[in-house]
Amino acid sequence: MNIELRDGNLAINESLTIEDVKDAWNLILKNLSEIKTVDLNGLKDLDLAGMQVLLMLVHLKQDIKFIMPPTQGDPRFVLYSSNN
Amino acid sequence: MEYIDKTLLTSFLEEAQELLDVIEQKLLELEKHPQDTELIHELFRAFHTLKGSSGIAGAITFQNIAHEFENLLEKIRKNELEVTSDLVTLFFKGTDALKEIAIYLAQKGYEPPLDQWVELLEEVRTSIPGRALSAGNQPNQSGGERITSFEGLYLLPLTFRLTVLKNMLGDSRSRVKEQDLGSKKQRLYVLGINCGTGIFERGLDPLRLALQGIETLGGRVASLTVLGDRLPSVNEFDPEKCYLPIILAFQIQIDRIETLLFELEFLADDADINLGYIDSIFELFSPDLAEIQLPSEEERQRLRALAEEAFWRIPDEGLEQRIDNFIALALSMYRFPFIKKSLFCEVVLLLALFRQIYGGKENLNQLIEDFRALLLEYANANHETVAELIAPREAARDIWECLQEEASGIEQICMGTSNLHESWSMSEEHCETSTSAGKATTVISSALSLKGESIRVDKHKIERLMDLASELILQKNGLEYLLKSLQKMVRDRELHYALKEQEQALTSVIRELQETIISLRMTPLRQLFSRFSRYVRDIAIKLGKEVELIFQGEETELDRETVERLYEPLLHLIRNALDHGLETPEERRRKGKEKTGRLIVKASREASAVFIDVIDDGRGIDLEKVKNKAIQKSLISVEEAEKMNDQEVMKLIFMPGFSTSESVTEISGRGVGMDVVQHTLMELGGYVNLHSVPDKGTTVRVVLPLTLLTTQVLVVEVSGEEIGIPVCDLERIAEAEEVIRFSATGKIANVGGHTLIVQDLASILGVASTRNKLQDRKAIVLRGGVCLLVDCISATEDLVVRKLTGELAGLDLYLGTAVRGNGRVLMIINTRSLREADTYEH
Repeated sequence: MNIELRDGNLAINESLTIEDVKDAWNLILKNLSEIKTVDLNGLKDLDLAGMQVLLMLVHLKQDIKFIMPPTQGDPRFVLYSSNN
Repeated sequence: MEYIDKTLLTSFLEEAQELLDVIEQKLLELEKHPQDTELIHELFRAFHTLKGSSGIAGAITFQNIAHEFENLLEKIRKNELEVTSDLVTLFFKGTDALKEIAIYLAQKGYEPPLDQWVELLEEVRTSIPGRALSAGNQPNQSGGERITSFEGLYLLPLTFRLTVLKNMLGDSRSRVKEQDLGSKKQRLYVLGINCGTGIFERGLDPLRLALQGIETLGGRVASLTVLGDRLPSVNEFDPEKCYLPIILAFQIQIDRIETLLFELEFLADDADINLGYIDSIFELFSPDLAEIQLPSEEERQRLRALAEEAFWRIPDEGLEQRIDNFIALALSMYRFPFIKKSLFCEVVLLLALFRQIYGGKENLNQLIEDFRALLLEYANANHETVAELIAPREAARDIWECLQEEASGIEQICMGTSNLHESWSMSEEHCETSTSAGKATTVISSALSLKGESIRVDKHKIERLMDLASELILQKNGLEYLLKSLQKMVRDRELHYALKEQEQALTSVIRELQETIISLRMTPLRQLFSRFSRYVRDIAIKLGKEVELIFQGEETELDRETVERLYEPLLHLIRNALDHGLETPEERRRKGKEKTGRLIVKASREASAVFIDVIDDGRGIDLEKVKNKAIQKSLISVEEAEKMNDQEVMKLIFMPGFSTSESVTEISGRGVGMDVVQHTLMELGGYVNLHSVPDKGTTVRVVLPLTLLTTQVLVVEVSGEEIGIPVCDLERIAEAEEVIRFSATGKIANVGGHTLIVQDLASILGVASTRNKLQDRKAIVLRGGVCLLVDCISATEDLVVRKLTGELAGLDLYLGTAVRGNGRVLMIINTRSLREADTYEH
């Protein structure tokens, strides 16, 4: 994992998996007020633990924006953050 | 007899071979450490994987046997069964059976019947405490009851249901129908996995496991939902614990769902797994039904009349016309009051379907036919069944809105039919997805890398790549030569530097390229060695001998193809060591040796060769016995035997038909073996040497050339002739005068405590003696203590060395030839031919 916060943008590169989630979560918690966007352009590997962290982030900041290339979004894969 | 799909079969057999090798290795370890639970788990996983992959391939006999042994391991895991030597032997019988089936499959393309292994299966079953002796407990009966119609589908998030719907509409019409023709019936399943929080601690990712399972079974994920409503508060949240239930909808062949369930068994201890299927679109929505308004008889008659009218055919005119007609039909139906509340949903669903298949007239007419049939069914149905068909208006509106949003991009809908991995391609465009407060649904993509990092490549492609790289090196060498000529003519220093820099960069890239290409072909000997453990165990038991098998240098790498071909020769050598070399415990005790004999299989690399030594500490080779046998078998005459030195006698062992064994057994004594070993090794460009000391043991050394694309060669000159010496064979270069100073005879020198055999290269090559003075000459000290005197050193070059062919192939003095940058052919000397003897452990 390569995670970096710059000007309110949290860029998560390479991976967000069980090996990385602890560090990622600590970073998110420490800088929660600063984070405005999450850039997933460089993300290549995401597992359930990684999804969980992203979901928690959405819970904490519901106005957060995710940035990713459109081709990476597959309508078959949807993540829910509410009881919807 | 059912033939197995060739592609599936190839990958299955490759995997099976690897796993069976691992299993044998682990079984040997388990025999030594019967309490090692990790080993038991590893074996369980290996059998489990074998069972799964054989199921995928359709190898039912294989699967059944693997399943029985998996059951056995499950009992061991639960401490209901103890690991004994007999049990390990039973497992070996199992792996033998699986190997036999695999070989049969590879040869014939279909499986032998299970009947052949009934006794083995009975033996397995009787080993399991409390298990009936009858041939019950068929593995493919065990999981059926776990699949049920999925309850409460309508409670799932609407977007999830919509993606499932799209999948059903899209696939049920166009793709899946085609697949059905191949008698492989598909079904849409819903899988719910609700994990305990500690699942990650077991190293398991339920999502990845499920997706991998579905994908490897040829399934297709239709929709994936992770429900976030069980996430705890921030203070309680531990990122290394699991809080997310997963719901997956996927399409898969019905006969493969069992295998998927087996795949998911790993999760069973820590998760609730629910699997159900969806057979009707209405299951997704109908339970929401609030109010059912049934049509009156009059309305039903009108509907029937509508359905029976002739304008249901879609005209041949253009697409727009066809769409308009279709929509007109839908609207005419919508004018029926009861349809407003009930059938509306179906109209929308069919419209959605229509969007996805609008391209094909044939499909469209089929759709119209279905539509018409549905209306007729609706009109003619009794009230109860009508109720079942009615879908909720609310849901229908949602569907409509959803489809409206996507109306602009039919291609986007079609993405649903794309492969799981296809959507993860990189794009420079970016988009933002925002979550709305309160109803935060965030589409975040399918960034799940499921594949491993290795791929299988056709070996011919690698060979072609090697040829091309060799050609590239030749071209580069030619370029270097021309550059040097150019540099002599051009005086521009900056240009010189620039050219030099460019040349160095090119050399560096080519060197890396060749190393990479070579590494593609290389594999460590570990896997080959591990295949012998089981064999040694079994043969030692049969021969009543105690053997400690030791592997050394297993990480040494050799060309993959060479490694594959080495199995048989090494097996012969090991067999001979066990049968002829090592003594029985009693004999060893009499000789004052440890009762357990040692058999070492050791690999090492020296310069451009790899040595594989098979060393035993047994009785050694009885040279007199070898001589007598050779005379007895008329391989040599008595006179010839008398003239032979020890090395020559030992070489008799490699003659076809030679065997010292008194009787022919299944282990050895047939007189085939060592000549086959020698023959195979020669084909691989190697050779075999023997060294033996009575009652100390025997070492058989297999020498194999390393696969190298280029060889760094030292070009030396002697009497005006240029000759190449592989740099990897060099120890150092010295002044000739310095070496000779330490030599009393001019043939043997003692330099720095090391004895060197001094040879003039001119005399070795048979060229005229040098005219150079001794102080101008160089001494090339080679590994192994040979020192060559040459006139001067010309250059060092990376060259592609080609083996000598035809009549020249027998020239032991030369390793091969190489074309230099200037186009001249250079002979490369084989330094090993200059050495007198190798060193051995005995």
